[in-house]
Amino acid sequence: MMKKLMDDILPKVENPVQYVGNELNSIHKEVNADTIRYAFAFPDIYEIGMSHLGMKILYHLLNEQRDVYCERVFSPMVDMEKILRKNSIPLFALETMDPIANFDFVGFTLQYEMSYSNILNILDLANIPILSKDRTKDHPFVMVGGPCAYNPEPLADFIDIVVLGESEEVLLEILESYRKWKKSKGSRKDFLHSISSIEGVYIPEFYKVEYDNEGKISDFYPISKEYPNKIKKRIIKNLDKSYYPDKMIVPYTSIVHDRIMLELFRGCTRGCRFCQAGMIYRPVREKTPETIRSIAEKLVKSTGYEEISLASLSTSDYTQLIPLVENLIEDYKDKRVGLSLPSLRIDSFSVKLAEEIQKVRKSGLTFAPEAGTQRLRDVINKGVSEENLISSVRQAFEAGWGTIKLYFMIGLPTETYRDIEGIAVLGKKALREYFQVDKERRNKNVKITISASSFVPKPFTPFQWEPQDSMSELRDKQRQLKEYIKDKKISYSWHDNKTSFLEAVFARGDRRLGNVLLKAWEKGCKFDGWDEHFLYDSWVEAFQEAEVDPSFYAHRKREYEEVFPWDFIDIGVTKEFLIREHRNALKEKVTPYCREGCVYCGIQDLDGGWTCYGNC
Amino acid sequence: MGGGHAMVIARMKFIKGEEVKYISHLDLQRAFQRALRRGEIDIAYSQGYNPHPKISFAMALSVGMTSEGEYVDVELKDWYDADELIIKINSVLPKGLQIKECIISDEKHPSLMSTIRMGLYKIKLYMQNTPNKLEIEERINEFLLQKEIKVNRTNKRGILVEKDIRQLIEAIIVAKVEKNNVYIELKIATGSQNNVKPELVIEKLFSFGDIPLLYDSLKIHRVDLFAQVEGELISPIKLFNQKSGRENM
Repeated sequence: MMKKLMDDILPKVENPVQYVGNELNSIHKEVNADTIRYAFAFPDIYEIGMSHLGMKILYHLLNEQRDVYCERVFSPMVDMEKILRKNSIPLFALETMDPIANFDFVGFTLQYEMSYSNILNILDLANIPILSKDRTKDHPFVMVGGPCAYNPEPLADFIDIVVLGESEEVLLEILESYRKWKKSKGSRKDFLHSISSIEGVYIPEFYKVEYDNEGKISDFYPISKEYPNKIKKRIIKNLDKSYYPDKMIVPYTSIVHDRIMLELFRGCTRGCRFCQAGMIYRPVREKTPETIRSIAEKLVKSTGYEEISLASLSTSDYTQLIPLVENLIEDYKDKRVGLSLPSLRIDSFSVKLAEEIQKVRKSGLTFAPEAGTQRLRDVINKGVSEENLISSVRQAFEAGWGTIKLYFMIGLPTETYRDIEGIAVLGKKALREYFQVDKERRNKNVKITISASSFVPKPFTPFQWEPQDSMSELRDKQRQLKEYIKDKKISYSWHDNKTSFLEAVFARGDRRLGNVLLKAWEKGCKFDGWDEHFLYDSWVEAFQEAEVDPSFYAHRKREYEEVFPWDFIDIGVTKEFLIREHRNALKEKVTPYCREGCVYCGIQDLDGGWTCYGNC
Repeated sequence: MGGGHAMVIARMKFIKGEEVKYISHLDLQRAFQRALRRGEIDIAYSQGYNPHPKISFAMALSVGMTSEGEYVDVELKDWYDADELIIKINSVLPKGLQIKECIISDEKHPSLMSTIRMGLYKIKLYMQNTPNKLEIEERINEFLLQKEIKVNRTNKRGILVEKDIRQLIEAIIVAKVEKNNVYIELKIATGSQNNVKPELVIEKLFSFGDIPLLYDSLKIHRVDLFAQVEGELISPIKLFNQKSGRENM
């Protein structure tokens, strides 16, 4: 099969190197009867999936287990899919090119809702029954994890196991149970039963949901008392002691994030009210600069990469950022390894830092004020003032940058047209700063890019009760904003509101969406996040045929009493805190950052007590 | 140490094997840069705002082809022993890439790319019908008897132009016919002055005449590249050696 693929199939497809898994630092192991074979599946194409840090960590972690062989699988591009289907070649893992249907596990990472149809497509291409109930002992267990697993219910029909939270430890615990189960010759159910008591593991088929006549959840319960009512997310308490790979796969073909990624910390102190990551990844846990430098050294040596990126949710908030950056610059300037800092805050400190590391002003500088007026920024708890923004922009122009990108959201709760206008006004004010910089000093070209995405309310955020704007409201706001922006030096880009709508449906969806997803996939839906592949009309048909009203999920305002599909998950942050934050939002009241004083979000009670900054 | 020295260049001949046949020329450049960093080999960088490593390849190989005759010049900041450099680089290159020869010189040379004139290729075709060696040889004879062989191609400005490739074909030989496979050796102009792609020659040859011969797949392997001195074909490594007058091999 490998030879047929290599010689007959691959010459016919676009960018064939993405299907050949022998990149530097990829793992090639002997397979024997005891080998537990794990397919780490990313439901999108190679260049996107290979940029994902979680996969890099778990791939090497799993492969360090003597009897486990973890390989990778991605969505084949459309041309490759056609050839695979035509030649009846089942979807294969990259390293061995063996069909993943013969593996023990297929684990999908859920990074965005718009990849769900690709999961079904991958299972089908692999000849694995799409519905969990149709799988037998001959099939792999299908597992999911990642941010969207915090509401796994729309996928309940298709998956066997959900892992909640950081999975470095829990995956190994599941594998240990698997070894025992394999020897025991038990049934599929026996295995699922055996792992259901592991913290962080959720088995959808062991739970039942009932709905009232309005369609809201009236009851959600385990089918037996043996199964927990609440599933607690897992976290790694000490990141300095936890596993981090000393090598990473270096792809031949360029990928979206083609560099060494060093994780600074997990969690975020900021508490923006629209942000799911800011809630589900709490508490903040930093790695020490010593750990980070030592990992950097190993990774530069094993990969030869020319760039290191410091990854986190808010890089400027790392307590020892300055000494770390200085040390890294010093360590690698002779080796010509550059540094990049994504997710910088809007302040003069951050611009200065960017100036320090980015000697060549190649790419633009990006700021995310998120909303156009101070009032709305207070609603979302984004602690950025107009003065912050304007002075940062000014500083960037003085430092020689010409391109500034400003990220906003439209459709935020309480938004009015004044807030929309505010976005355009901020753009204009930013541009004005450019012209006030001395001609000799400033970049010859100036471009302000305003990018506005549509707000999608997410589970486990203070806005989880909020309706999304209707598609026509979003479209009107997009049009209005376009009219407000007149200057040719300011460009404006926006997201397709249909995609945002579908994202909102699935983000807060329940099990009844499984049937819709299945029908949509049968109609050919896949790569829904890609404009050129997105088949909105097919989705509409799928909703109609399944007799499910998507508006019920996207556009309905919820009461605090309502039972949510994801309520069985305990993220540490309490619902009381989220309600409090929701009320504060409506009062336009800002909540201080964790570091300025604990706001008792609930994480302080994690596992019998957790201290973030010594002030809880 | 570097200061005051003329530039030191390592000219290397390398293999691009099956494992890496689908990587593009750009991928290959990156793979070399990263390997050199892993090997902690001190290479020179261009001056200016956005410095890039001084590594230049002889001739891009199309995606899907393998080769045992690729060449690259790497400018070093220090003098290395050629054999040691081979060992060092080979220990960090990904599977499928391997340095076979290396010669180091600090003499001034014309660029590697500008010296290449000719390429030698081995091609394996899988024919739809059982092939006949004599028939193919006859076809080649007639094909080469043509005064000109016209092909259409789009030039750099995107305009369709006609080009005669007859003079760019030095030799076509049928090495072997085995079941449905035909093995052909091709010697054609390759380089920045005159260039013709091997797959194009094959396509023209097999579609030539009244009855085209149909093939399902073809595999192309580059055997070597040559420079030319006074009409004589010579390996780019030898050319480098002659000029530098050193015995590094």
